[in-house]
Amino acid sequence: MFEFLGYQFIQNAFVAGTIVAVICAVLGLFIVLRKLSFMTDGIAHASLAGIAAAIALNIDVLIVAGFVALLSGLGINRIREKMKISGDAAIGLLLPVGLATGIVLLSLAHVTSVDLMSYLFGSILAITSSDVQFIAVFGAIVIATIAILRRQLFYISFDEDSAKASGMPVSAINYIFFGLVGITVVLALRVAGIMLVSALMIIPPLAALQLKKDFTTTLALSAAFGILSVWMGIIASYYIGVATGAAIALSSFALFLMAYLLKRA
Amino acid sequence: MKKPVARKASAKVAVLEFSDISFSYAGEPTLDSVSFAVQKGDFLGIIGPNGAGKSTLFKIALGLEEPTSGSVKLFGKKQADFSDWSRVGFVPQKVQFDPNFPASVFEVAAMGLTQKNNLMPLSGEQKKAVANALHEVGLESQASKRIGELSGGQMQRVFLARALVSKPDLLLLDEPTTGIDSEQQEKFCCLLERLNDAGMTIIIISHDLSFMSYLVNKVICLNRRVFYCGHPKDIAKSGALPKAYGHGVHAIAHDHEHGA
Repeated sequence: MFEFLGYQFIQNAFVAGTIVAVICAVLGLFIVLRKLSFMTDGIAHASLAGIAAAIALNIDVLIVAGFVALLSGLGINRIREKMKISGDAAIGLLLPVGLATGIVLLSLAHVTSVDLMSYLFGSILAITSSDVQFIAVFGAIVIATIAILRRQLFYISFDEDSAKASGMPVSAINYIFFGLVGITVVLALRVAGIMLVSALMIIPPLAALQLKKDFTTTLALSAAFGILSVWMGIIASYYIGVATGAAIALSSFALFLMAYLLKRA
Repeated sequence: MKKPVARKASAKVAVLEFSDISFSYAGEPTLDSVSFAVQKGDFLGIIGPNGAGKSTLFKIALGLEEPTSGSVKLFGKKQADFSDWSRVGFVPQKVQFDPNFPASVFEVAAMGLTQKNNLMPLSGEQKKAVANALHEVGLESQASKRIGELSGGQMQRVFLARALVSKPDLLLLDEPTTGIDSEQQEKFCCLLERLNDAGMTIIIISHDLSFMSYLVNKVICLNRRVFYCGHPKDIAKSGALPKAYGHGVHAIAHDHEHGA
Protein backbone atom coordinates (compact mmCIF):
# COMPACT_ATOMS: atom_id res chain seq x y z
CA MET A 1 0.00 0.00 0.00
CA PHE A 2 2.85 2.35 0.84
CA GLU A 3 5.08 1.52 -2.14
CA PHE A 4 4.63 5.10 -3.33
CA LEU A 5 6.87 6.16 -0.43
CA GLY A 6 9.80 4.73 -2.39
CA TYR A 7 9.61 7.59 -4.92
CA GLN A 8 12.05 10.44 -4.30
CA PHE A 9 9.48 13.13 -5.19
CA ILE A 10 7.02 11.68 -2.67
CA GLN A 11 9.71 11.59 0.02
CA ASN A 12 10.56 15.23 -0.76
CA ALA A 13 6.88 16.12 -0.54
CA PHE A 14 6.49 14.44 2.84
CA VAL A 15 9.63 16.00 4.35
CA ALA A 16 8.99 19.53 3.01
CA GLY A 17 5.25 19.26 3.73
CA THR A 18 5.83 18.18 7.33
CA ILE A 19 8.28 21.02 8.04
CA VAL A 20 5.97 23.57 6.45
CA ALA A 21 2.93 22.12 8.26
CA VAL A 22 4.62 22.52 11.66
CA ILE A 23 5.85 26.10 11.19
CA CYS A 24 2.58 27.20 9.59
CA ALA A 25 0.43 25.68 12.32
CA VAL A 26 2.58 26.97 15.20
CA LEU A 27 2.92 30.50 13.83
CA GLY A 28 -0.67 30.33 12.61
CA LEU A 29 -1.95 29.85 16.17
CA PHE A 30 -0.43 33.20 17.17
CA ILE A 31 -1.89 34.78 14.00
CA VAL A 32 -5.39 33.46 14.76
CA LEU A 33 -5.19 34.49 18.43
CA ARG A 34 -4.10 38.00 17.42
CA LYS A 35 -7.05 38.18 14.99
CA LEU A 36 -4.73 38.67 12.02
CA SER A 37 -5.88 35.69 9.93
CA PHE A 38 -6.30 37.89 6.88
CA MET A 39 -2.57 38.66 7.07
CA THR A 40 -1.62 35.25 5.68
CA ASP A 41 -3.62 35.85 2.50
CA GLY A 42 -2.42 39.45 2.32
CA ILE A 43 1.27 38.51 2.39
CA ALA A 44 0.72 35.58 0.02
CA HIS A 45 -1.01 37.83 -2.50
CA ALA A 46 1.60 40.56 -2.08
CA SER A 47 4.35 37.99 -2.75
CA LEU A 48 2.92 37.55 -6.26
CA ALA A 49 4.90 40.69 -7.13
CA GLY A 50 8.10 38.84 -6.15
CA ILE A 51 7.08 35.68 -8.01
CA ALA A 52 6.29 37.71 -11.13
CA ALA A 53 9.58 39.62 -10.95
CA ALA A 54 11.54 36.37 -10.49
CA ILE A 55 9.78 34.63 -13.41
CA ALA A 56 10.20 37.69 -15.64
CA LEU A 57 13.90 38.03 -14.78
CA ASN A 58 14.48 34.26 -14.70
CA ILE A 59 15.91 34.24 -11.16
CA ASP A 60 15.16 32.09 -8.09
CA VAL A 61 11.47 32.50 -7.27
CA LEU A 62 11.63 31.45 -3.60
CA ILE A 63 14.36 33.98 -2.78
CA VAL A 64 12.68 36.93 -4.52
CA ALA A 65 9.19 36.02 -3.29
CA GLY A 66 10.65 35.49 0.20
CA PHE A 67 12.21 38.94 0.14
CA VAL A 68 8.94 40.55 -0.99
CA ALA A 69 6.93 38.58 1.60
CA LEU A 70 9.37 39.57 4.36
CA LEU A 71 9.07 43.23 3.33
CA SER A 72 5.28 42.91 3.24
CA GLY A 73 5.18 41.46 6.77
CA LEU A 74 7.42 44.21 8.13
CA GLY A 75 5.50 46.81 6.09
CA ILE A 76 2.16 45.74 7.59
CA ASN A 77 3.59 46.15 11.10
CA ARG A 78 5.11 49.51 10.20
CA ILE A 79 1.78 50.78 8.85
CA ARG A 80 -0.02 49.45 11.98
CA GLU A 81 2.37 51.19 14.34
CA LYS A 82 3.30 54.42 12.63
CA MET A 83 0.19 55.29 10.62
CA LYS A 84 -2.18 54.08 13.38
CA ILE A 85 -4.07 51.98 10.84
CA SER A 86 -5.57 48.74 12.17
CA GLY A 87 -3.87 45.45 11.25
CA ASP A 88 -6.60 44.23 8.88
CA ALA A 89 -6.80 47.60 7.10
CA ALA A 90 -2.99 47.66 6.71
CA ILE A 91 -3.21 44.20 5.10
CA GLY A 92 -6.06 45.40 2.87
CA LEU A 93 -3.82 48.26 1.79
CA LEU A 94 -0.84 46.09 0.80
CA LEU A 95 -2.71 43.10 -0.69
CA PRO A 96 -4.05 44.75 -3.86
CA VAL A 97 -0.78 46.67 -4.36
CA GLY A 98 1.25 43.43 -4.37
CA LEU A 99 -1.29 41.59 -6.48
CA ALA A 100 -1.60 44.41 -9.01
CA THR A 101 2.20 44.83 -9.22
CA GLY A 102 2.51 41.09 -9.88
CA ILE A 103 -0.13 41.16 -12.63
CA VAL A 104 1.49 44.20 -14.30
CA LEU A 105 4.92 42.53 -14.24
CA LEU A 106 3.50 39.26 -15.60
CA SER A 107 1.70 41.11 -18.40
CA LEU A 108 4.86 42.99 -19.34
CA ALA A 109 6.91 39.78 -19.35
CA HIS A 110 4.25 37.80 -21.29
CA VAL A 111 4.32 35.00 -18.70
CA THR A 112 1.98 32.06 -19.46
CA SER A 113 -0.63 30.94 -17.00
CA VAL A 114 1.12 27.55 -16.74
CA ASP A 115 4.16 29.18 -15.07
CA LEU A 116 1.90 30.80 -12.57
CA MET A 117 -0.41 27.91 -11.70
CA SER A 118 2.10 26.13 -9.46
CA TYR A 119 2.49 29.28 -7.35
CA LEU A 120 -1.23 29.96 -7.21
CA PHE A 121 -2.23 26.46 -6.12
CA GLY A 122 1.03 24.85 -4.97
CA SER A 123 3.10 22.05 -6.45
CA ILE A 124 4.36 19.99 -3.54
CA LEU A 125 5.02 16.97 -5.76
CA ALA A 126 7.44 19.06 -7.83
CA ILE A 127 9.59 19.96 -4.82
CA THR A 128 13.25 19.14 -5.42
CA SER A 129 15.90 18.06 -2.93
CA SER A 130 17.40 21.56 -3.01
CA ASP A 131 13.92 22.99 -2.26
CA VAL A 132 13.75 20.64 0.73
CA GLN A 133 17.11 21.93 1.97
CA PHE A 134 15.95 25.55 1.56
CA ILE A 135 12.71 24.82 3.42
CA ALA A 136 14.58 22.89 6.16
CA VAL A 137 17.09 25.70 6.80
CA PHE A 138 14.52 28.51 6.90
CA GLY A 139 12.04 26.29 8.73
CA ALA A 140 14.65 25.67 11.43
CA ILE A 141 15.27 29.42 11.72
CA VAL A 142 11.53 30.10 12.11
CA ILE A 143 11.03 27.33 14.69
CA ALA A 144 14.11 28.38 16.70
CA THR A 145 12.93 32.00 16.77
CA ILE A 146 9.44 30.99 17.88
CA ALA A 147 10.95 28.74 20.57
CA ILE A 148 12.99 31.65 21.91
CA LEU A 149 10.12 34.14 21.80
CA ARG A 150 7.24 31.78 22.58
CA ARG A 151 6.48 33.22 26.02
CA GLN A 152 6.61 36.82 24.81
CA LEU A 153 4.43 35.96 21.80
CA PHE A 154 1.98 34.19 24.10
CA TYR A 155 1.80 37.23 26.40
CA ILE A 156 1.44 39.69 23.48
CA SER A 157 -1.25 37.54 21.84
CA PHE A 158 -3.20 37.46 25.09
CA ASP A 159 -2.97 41.12 26.02
CA GLU A 160 -0.59 43.42 24.12
CA ASP A 161 -1.12 46.41 26.42
CA SER A 162 -0.17 44.52 29.59
CA ALA A 163 2.82 43.02 27.79
CA LYS A 164 4.01 46.56 27.00
CA ALA A 165 3.41 47.61 30.60
CA SER A 166 5.59 44.73 31.80
CA GLY A 167 8.58 46.36 30.11
CA MET A 168 8.63 43.90 27.20
CA PRO A 169 10.06 45.26 23.88
CA VAL A 170 6.73 44.60 22.13
CA SER A 171 7.47 46.69 19.03
CA ALA A 172 10.73 44.83 18.30
CA ILE A 173 9.07 41.46 18.89
CA ASN A 174 6.21 42.43 16.56
CA TYR A 175 8.66 43.20 13.75
CA ILE A 176 10.30 39.80 14.23
CA PHE A 177 6.86 38.12 14.32
CA PHE A 178 5.64 39.80 11.13
CA GLY A 179 8.95 39.00 9.43
CA LEU A 180 8.57 35.33 10.41
CA VAL A 181 5.06 35.30 8.94
CA GLY A 182 6.48 36.65 5.67
CA ILE A 183 9.16 33.92 5.51
CA THR A 184 6.66 31.21 6.45
CA VAL A 185 4.13 32.22 3.82
CA VAL A 186 6.80 31.86 1.13
CA LEU A 187 7.92 28.48 2.45
CA ALA A 188 4.27 27.38 2.26
CA LEU A 189 3.82 28.62 -1.32
CA ARG A 190 5.32 25.50 -2.92
CA VAL A 191 3.12 23.30 -0.74
CA ALA A 192 -0.26 25.03 -0.92
CA GLY A 193 0.13 28.03 -3.23
CA ILE A 194 -0.96 31.63 -2.85
CA MET A 195 -4.66 30.80 -2.93
CA LEU A 196 -4.54 27.99 -0.37
CA VAL A 197 -1.80 29.01 2.05
CA SER A 198 -4.34 29.86 4.75
CA ALA A 199 -5.37 26.19 4.71
CA LEU A 200 -2.05 25.48 6.43
CA MET A 201 -1.74 28.61 8.57
CA ILE A 202 -5.30 29.21 9.73
CA ILE A 203 -7.36 25.99 9.59
CA PRO A 204 -5.13 23.71 11.78
CA PRO A 205 -5.00 26.30 14.62
CA LEU A 206 -8.78 26.78 14.31
CA ALA A 207 -9.26 23.01 14.56
CA ALA A 208 -7.04 22.88 17.66
CA LEU A 209 -8.94 25.77 19.26
CA GLN A 210 -12.21 23.81 18.96
CA LEU A 211 -10.92 21.37 21.58
CA LYS A 212 -10.64 24.14 24.23
CA LYS A 213 -7.38 23.09 25.87
CA ASP A 214 -4.62 25.13 27.49
CA PHE A 215 -2.08 26.96 25.33
CA THR A 216 0.70 24.35 25.29
CA THR A 217 -1.72 21.57 24.34
CA THR A 218 -3.41 23.77 21.71
CA LEU A 219 -0.01 24.53 20.16
CA ALA A 220 0.85 20.81 19.95
CA LEU A 221 -2.61 19.96 18.57
CA SER A 222 -2.31 22.69 15.96
CA ALA A 223 1.00 21.24 14.71
CA ALA A 224 -0.48 17.73 14.74
CA PHE A 225 -3.52 18.84 12.69
CA GLY A 226 -1.19 20.61 10.23
CA ILE A 227 0.96 17.51 9.73
CA LEU A 228 -2.08 15.27 9.35
CA SER A 229 -3.59 17.65 6.77
CA VAL A 230 -0.44 17.50 4.63
CA TRP A 231 -0.03 13.73 4.92
CA MET A 232 -3.71 13.07 4.17
CA GLY A 233 -3.57 15.52 1.26
CA ILE A 234 -0.49 13.90 -0.33
CA ILE A 235 -1.88 10.39 0.03
CA ALA A 236 -5.31 11.40 -1.29
CA SER A 237 -3.70 13.27 -4.15
CA TYR A 238 -1.58 10.22 -5.11
CA TYR A 239 -4.38 7.70 -5.01
CA ILE A 240 -7.27 9.80 -6.29
CA GLY A 241 -5.22 11.83 -8.74
CA VAL A 242 -6.30 15.31 -7.69
CA ALA A 243 -4.29 18.52 -7.17
CA THR A 244 -2.21 18.12 -4.00
CA GLY A 245 -2.63 21.70 -2.70
CA ALA A 246 -6.41 21.40 -2.94
CA ALA A 247 -6.35 17.93 -1.32
CA ILE A 248 -4.32 19.35 1.58
CA ALA A 249 -6.76 22.25 1.99
CA LEU A 250 -9.77 19.92 2.00
CA SER A 251 -8.05 17.51 4.44
CA SER A 252 -7.38 20.44 6.69
CA PHE A 253 -11.05 21.44 6.61
CA ALA A 254 -12.14 17.82 7.24
CA LEU A 255 -9.99 17.76 10.39
CA PHE A 256 -11.48 21.09 11.49
CA LEU A 257 -15.00 19.67 11.09
CA MET A 258 -13.99 16.54 13.00
CA ALA A 259 -12.59 18.59 15.89
CA TYR A 260 -15.69 20.77 15.93
CA LEU A 261 -18.05 17.77 16.01
CA LEU A 262 -15.88 15.90 18.52
CA LYS A 263 -16.13 18.73 21.03
CA ARG A 264 -19.88 18.96 20.63
CA ALA A 265 -20.53 15.20 20.70
CA MET B 1 -15.16 44.97 56.62
CA LYS B 2 -12.44 43.83 58.96
CA LYS B 3 -10.61 46.64 60.73
CA PRO B 4 -7.26 47.14 59.10
CA VAL B 5 -4.06 47.19 61.05
CA ALA B 6 -2.49 50.64 61.02
CA ARG B 7 0.34 50.69 58.53
CA LYS B 8 3.02 53.28 58.33
CA ALA B 9 5.60 54.07 55.71
CA SER B 10 9.02 52.83 56.74
CA ALA B 11 12.41 54.03 55.45
CA LYS B 12 12.41 57.11 53.19
CA VAL B 13 13.39 55.44 49.93
CA ALA B 14 11.55 56.94 46.94
CA VAL B 15 10.09 54.01 45.05
CA LEU B 16 8.33 56.21 42.51
CA GLU B 17 8.83 59.90 42.00
CA PHE B 18 6.92 62.22 39.66
CA SER B 19 8.62 65.62 39.17
CA ASP B 20 6.64 68.41 37.55
CA ILE B 21 4.83 66.07 35.12
CA SER B 22 2.65 67.64 32.44
CA PHE B 23 0.88 65.70 29.72
CA SER B 24 -1.42 66.63 26.85
CA TYR B 25 -3.59 64.33 24.79
CA ALA B 26 -4.69 65.60 21.36
CA GLY B 27 -3.86 69.12 22.47
CA GLU B 28 -5.94 68.81 25.65
CA PRO B 29 -3.91 69.13 28.87
CA THR B 30 -4.45 66.03 31.02
CA LEU B 31 -1.80 66.59 33.68
CA ASP B 32 -0.38 69.91 34.81
CA SER B 33 2.85 70.06 36.86
CA VAL B 34 2.12 66.99 38.96
CA SER B 35 4.77 66.21 41.54
CA PHE B 36 4.76 63.66 44.33
CA ALA B 37 6.89 60.84 45.66
CA VAL B 38 5.92 57.42 46.92
CA GLN B 39 8.05 55.97 49.67
CA LYS B 40 8.83 52.34 50.35
CA GLY B 41 5.94 50.72 52.24
CA ASP B 42 3.40 53.40 51.32
CA PHE B 43 -0.16 52.40 50.50
CA LEU B 44 -1.22 55.30 48.30
CA GLY B 45 -4.66 55.91 46.89
CA ILE B 46 -5.25 58.17 43.88
CA ILE B 47 -8.74 59.57 43.51
CA GLY B 48 -10.27 62.03 41.10
CA PRO B 49 -13.11 62.42 38.62
CA ASN B 50 -13.20 60.73 35.20
CA GLY B 51 -10.57 62.17 32.88
CA ALA B 52 -8.53 63.52 35.79
CA GLY B 53 -5.35 61.89 34.48
CA LYS B 54 -5.11 59.09 37.06
CA SER B 55 -4.53 56.24 34.60
CA THR B 56 -2.25 58.50 32.53
CA LEU B 57 0.05 58.77 35.57
CA PHE B 58 0.39 54.97 35.61
CA LYS B 59 0.99 54.90 31.85
CA ILE B 60 3.76 57.47 32.24
CA ALA B 61 5.31 55.50 35.12
CA LEU B 62 5.24 52.33 32.99
CA GLY B 63 6.69 54.05 29.92
CA LEU B 64 3.53 53.65 27.85
CA GLU B 65 3.16 57.43 27.46
CA GLU B 66 5.79 60.16 27.25
CA PRO B 67 5.14 63.21 29.44
CA THR B 68 5.10 66.58 27.68
CA SER B 69 7.47 67.81 30.38
CA GLY B 70 8.84 66.64 33.71
CA SER B 71 10.51 63.42 34.77
CA VAL B 72 9.72 60.12 36.47
CA LYS B 73 12.04 58.01 38.57
CA LEU B 74 11.51 54.38 39.52
CA PHE B 75 13.61 53.14 42.43
CA GLY B 76 15.89 56.15 42.00
CA LYS B 77 16.47 55.58 38.27
CA LYS B 78 15.08 57.64 35.41
CA GLN B 79 12.13 55.81 33.87
CA ALA B 80 13.93 55.45 30.50
CA ASP B 81 16.94 53.85 32.21
CA PHE B 82 14.92 51.53 34.43
CA SER B 83 15.09 47.89 33.30
CA ASP B 84 14.26 45.65 36.27
CA TRP B 85 10.54 45.43 35.50
CA SER B 86 10.09 42.36 37.66
CA ARG B 87 10.14 44.84 40.59
CA VAL B 88 6.92 46.43 39.31
CA GLY B 89 3.56 44.67 39.19
CA PHE B 90 0.63 46.20 37.32
CA VAL B 91 -3.04 45.27 37.29
CA PRO B 92 -4.93 47.23 34.61
CA GLN B 93 -8.53 48.33 35.03
CA LYS B 94 -9.76 46.00 32.34
CA VAL B 95 -7.72 43.42 30.49
CA GLN B 96 -8.98 43.21 26.92
CA PHE B 97 -8.73 39.57 25.96
CA ASP B 98 -10.73 36.97 24.07
CA PRO B 99 -12.62 34.79 26.60
CA ASN B 100 -12.02 31.83 24.27
CA PHE B 101 -8.25 32.33 24.45
CA PRO B 102 -6.64 28.92 25.05
CA ALA B 103 -4.84 29.78 28.28
CA SER B 104 -5.13 28.14 31.66
CA VAL B 105 -5.19 30.19 34.85
CA PHE B 106 -1.68 28.87 35.59
CA GLU B 107 -0.38 29.97 32.17
CA VAL B 108 -1.82 33.47 32.59
CA ALA B 109 -0.29 33.86 36.07
CA ALA B 110 3.05 32.60 34.68
CA MET B 111 3.07 35.49 32.16
CA GLY B 112 4.37 37.57 35.06
CA LEU B 113 7.68 35.68 34.75
CA THR B 114 8.06 36.36 31.02
CA GLN B 115 10.99 38.70 31.54
CA LYS B 116 13.06 35.94 33.11
CA ASN B 117 14.49 32.74 31.67
CA ASN B 118 12.56 32.78 28.43
CA LEU B 119 14.40 30.10 26.54
CA MET B 120 13.96 27.27 29.02
CA PRO B 121 10.67 25.86 30.24
CA LEU B 122 9.58 27.11 33.68
CA SER B 123 11.87 25.75 36.40
CA GLY B 124 10.47 23.94 39.45
CA GLU B 125 11.12 27.07 41.48
CA GLN B 126 9.24 29.25 39.00
CA LYS B 127 6.31 26.82 38.93
CA LYS B 128 6.25 27.03 42.72
CA ALA B 129 6.24 30.84 42.53
CA VAL B 130 3.22 30.73 40.18
CA ALA B 131 1.44 28.25 42.47
CA ASN B 132 2.20 30.49 45.47
CA ALA B 133 0.85 33.57 43.69
CA LEU B 134 -2.35 31.69 42.84
CA HIS B 135 -2.58 30.48 46.44
CA GLU B 136 -2.14 34.08 47.59
CA VAL B 137 -5.23 35.13 45.59
CA GLY B 138 -7.17 32.00 46.56
CA LEU B 139 -7.26 30.41 43.12
CA GLU B 140 -4.82 27.52 43.42
CA SER B 141 -7.66 25.03 42.92
CA GLN B 142 -8.56 26.72 39.60
CA ALA B 143 -5.02 26.56 38.13
CA SER B 144 -5.85 24.19 35.29
CA LYS B 145 -9.14 25.89 34.34
CA ARG B 146 -9.26 28.06 31.23
CA ILE B 147 -9.18 31.76 32.08
CA GLY B 148 -12.43 32.40 30.17
CA GLU B 149 -14.33 30.03 32.49
CA LEU B 150 -13.80 32.25 35.54
CA SER B 151 -16.04 35.02 36.89
CA GLY B 152 -15.01 38.69 36.52
CA GLY B 153 -13.79 38.84 40.12
CA GLN B 154 -11.79 35.64 39.76
CA MET B 155 -10.21 36.89 36.53
CA GLN B 156 -9.16 40.09 38.28
CA ARG B 157 -7.51 37.98 41.00
CA VAL B 158 -5.65 35.98 38.32
CA PHE B 159 -4.30 39.26 36.93
CA LEU B 160 -3.27 40.21 40.45
CA ALA B 161 -1.48 36.84 40.72
CA ARG B 162 0.26 37.61 37.40
CA ALA B 163 1.44 40.92 38.87
CA LEU B 164 2.56 39.27 42.13
CA VAL B 165 4.38 36.25 40.71
CA SER B 166 7.69 38.09 40.28
CA LYS B 167 7.43 39.31 43.90
CA PRO B 168 7.41 43.02 42.96
CA ASP B 169 8.39 45.80 45.33
CA LEU B 170 5.83 48.15 43.78
CA LEU B 171 2.27 47.21 42.86
CA LEU B 172 0.15 49.50 40.65
CA LEU B 173 -3.60 48.82 40.60
CA ASP B 174 -5.92 50.71 38.27
CA GLU B 175 -9.53 50.45 39.50
CA PRO B 176 -8.99 46.79 40.44
CA THR B 177 -12.41 46.28 42.02
CA THR B 178 -14.54 47.56 39.13
CA GLY B 179 -17.34 45.06 38.50
CA ILE B 180 -16.50 42.93 41.51
CA ASP B 181 -19.17 42.09 44.09
CA SER B 182 -18.77 43.25 47.70
CA GLU B 183 -17.68 39.83 49.01
CA GLN B 184 -14.90 39.54 46.41
CA GLN B 185 -13.99 43.17 47.04
CA GLU B 186 -13.51 42.49 50.75
CA LYS B 187 -11.26 39.50 50.01
CA PHE B 188 -9.31 41.68 47.58
CA CYS B 189 -8.83 44.37 50.23
CA CYS B 190 -7.67 41.86 52.86
CA LEU B 191 -5.10 40.54 50.41
CA LEU B 192 -3.81 44.05 49.63
CA GLU B 193 -3.54 44.85 53.33
CA ARG B 194 -1.55 41.67 53.88
CA LEU B 195 0.81 42.48 51.01
CA ASN B 196 1.35 46.02 52.27
CA ASP B 197 1.94 44.76 55.80
CA ALA B 198 4.62 42.51 54.31
CA GLY B 199 6.40 45.61 52.97
CA MET B 200 5.05 45.94 49.43
CA THR B 201 4.49 49.50 48.20
CA ILE B 202 1.03 49.77 46.68
CA ILE B 203 -0.58 52.52 44.59
CA ILE B 204 -4.25 52.11 43.84
CA ILE B 205 -6.56 54.17 41.64
CA SER B 206 -10.21 54.07 42.61
CA HIS B 207 -13.41 56.04 42.27
CA ASP B 208 -14.62 54.68 45.58
CA LEU B 209 -13.65 57.33 48.13
CA SER B 210 -14.91 55.42 51.16
CA PHE B 211 -13.11 52.27 50.03
CA MET B 212 -9.96 54.34 49.61
CA SER B 213 -10.11 56.11 52.94
CA TYR B 214 -10.53 52.75 54.65
CA LEU B 215 -7.64 51.06 52.90
CA VAL B 216 -4.77 53.48 52.28
CA ASN B 217 -2.42 55.46 54.51
CA LYS B 218 -1.94 58.28 52.03
CA VAL B 219 -4.25 59.73 49.42
CA ILE B 220 -3.79 62.01 46.43
CA CYS B 221 -6.76 63.88 44.99
CA LEU B 222 -6.08 64.61 41.33
CA ASN B 223 -7.81 66.50 38.61
CA ARG B 224 -5.10 67.46 36.13
CA ARG B 225 -3.14 68.79 39.12
CA VAL B 226 -2.77 67.61 42.68
CA PHE B 227 -5.48 69.07 44.96
CA TYR B 228 -4.61 67.09 48.06
CA CYS B 229 -1.78 64.86 49.21
CA GLY B 230 -1.92 63.52 52.74
CA HIS B 231 -3.67 61.27 55.21
CA PRO B 232 -7.14 60.14 54.07
CA LYS B 233 -8.84 61.24 57.31
CA ASP B 234 -7.96 64.87 56.65
CA ILE B 235 -9.17 65.06 53.04
CA ALA B 236 -12.76 65.99 53.89
CA LYS B 237 -11.83 69.02 55.94
CA SER B 238 -9.13 70.10 53.45
CA GLY B 239 -11.80 71.29 51.01
CA ALA B 240 -9.96 69.58 48.16
CA LEU B 241 -12.82 67.31 47.07
CA PRO B 242 -15.30 69.97 45.89
CA LYS B 243 -12.45 71.80 44.15
CA ALA B 244 -11.28 68.67 42.33
CA TYR B 245 -14.70 67.23 41.54
CA GLY B 246 -16.42 70.56 40.98
CA HIS B 247 -19.58 69.59 42.89
CA GLY B 248 -20.68 68.42 46.31
CA VAL B 249 -18.80 65.27 47.23
CA HIS B 250 -19.11 63.62 50.61
CA ALA B 251 -16.25 61.60 51.93
CA ILE B 252 -16.98 59.04 54.61
CA ALA B 253 -13.89 59.12 56.74
CA HIS B 254 -12.64 55.97 58.44
CA ASP B 255 -10.30 56.23 61.34
CA HIS B 256 -7.55 53.66 60.91
CA GLU B 257 -7.01 53.39 64.65
CA HIS B 258 -10.68 52.84 65.58
CA GLY B 259 -12.18 51.50 62.40
CA ALA B 260 -14.97 54.10 62.61
